[in-house]
Amino acid sequence: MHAALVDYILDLSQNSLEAQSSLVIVDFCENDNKISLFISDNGCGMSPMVLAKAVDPFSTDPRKHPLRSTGFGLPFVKQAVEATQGEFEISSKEGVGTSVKCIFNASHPDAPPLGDVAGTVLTLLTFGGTYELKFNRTRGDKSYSISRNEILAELGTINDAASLLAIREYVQMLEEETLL
Amino acid sequence: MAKLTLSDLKTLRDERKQAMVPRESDGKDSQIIIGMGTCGIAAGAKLAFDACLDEIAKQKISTVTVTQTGCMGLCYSEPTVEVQTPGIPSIIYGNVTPEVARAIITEHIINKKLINDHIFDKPATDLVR
Repeated sequence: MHAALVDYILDLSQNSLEAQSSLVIVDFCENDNKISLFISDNGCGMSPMVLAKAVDPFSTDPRKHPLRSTGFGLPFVKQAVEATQGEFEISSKEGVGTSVKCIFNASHPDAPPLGDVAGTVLTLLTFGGTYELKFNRTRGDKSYSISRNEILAELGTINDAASLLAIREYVQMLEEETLL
Repeated sequence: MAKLTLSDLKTLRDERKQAMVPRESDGKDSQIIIGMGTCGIAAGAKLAFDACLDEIAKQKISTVTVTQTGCMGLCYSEPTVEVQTPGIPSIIYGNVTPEVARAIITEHIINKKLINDHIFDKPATDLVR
């Protein structure tokens, strides 16, 4: 289990990228008493058999680290969502992609704190390689969207110190605007 | 306030860039790679990431890039940070608290001195052959 809700976003997006996705879409909405998180990708997808194992906390996939046991982190998310009496759904198709839907019940005492949204968005953008990541944030009637390709086109690069700092500041300001 | 646009982002970046004067000593880029797998995040890799960025801004060095990777297989010593800097073999530091992350910038990258208590792996590939 992670301490903050945004850590699950990072975890699931990393799964998507490791599944050779060129496009990851993250929808993160806070409305009334619900925090909804939808993550979909166009990666390699999973067969029904692998999908069934993916949410089993006792299954492992030896491909990444042959001598150790690692899973997808999905059982953690499922447990966290279900602890708040929320909804968890995952669907996947081989060769098409995977999508995960989590709806947390925000007023439940077991709901995890949101965590550092701006810092998470920044880390979502800084994985190596080429990929498009869209982050759509909604809070009540306010919203903003961030696209990795658009930022790359505007700045030319993401990973140098000046760009990283500027992106963090930019997202922080966008995030604060949704609070007003 | 009007809604922020991407050109505001560019302005921000250019301001940041101007504030950073390249040091004479480091003509080449250093790279910092932070392990952000489940294990890394749980152990506080994001704090290390933030501390790195803050210290880079404070020291005004423009020649450092920061990227992240998944689990490096050293979960017991997370957060782990790999540092590649010209003139020093690639080093992996473990148990990188925000203080150690700052030391990586000020000692390793600027002063070219290793942080001995936190070295975990990889100092040797090009030394021992």
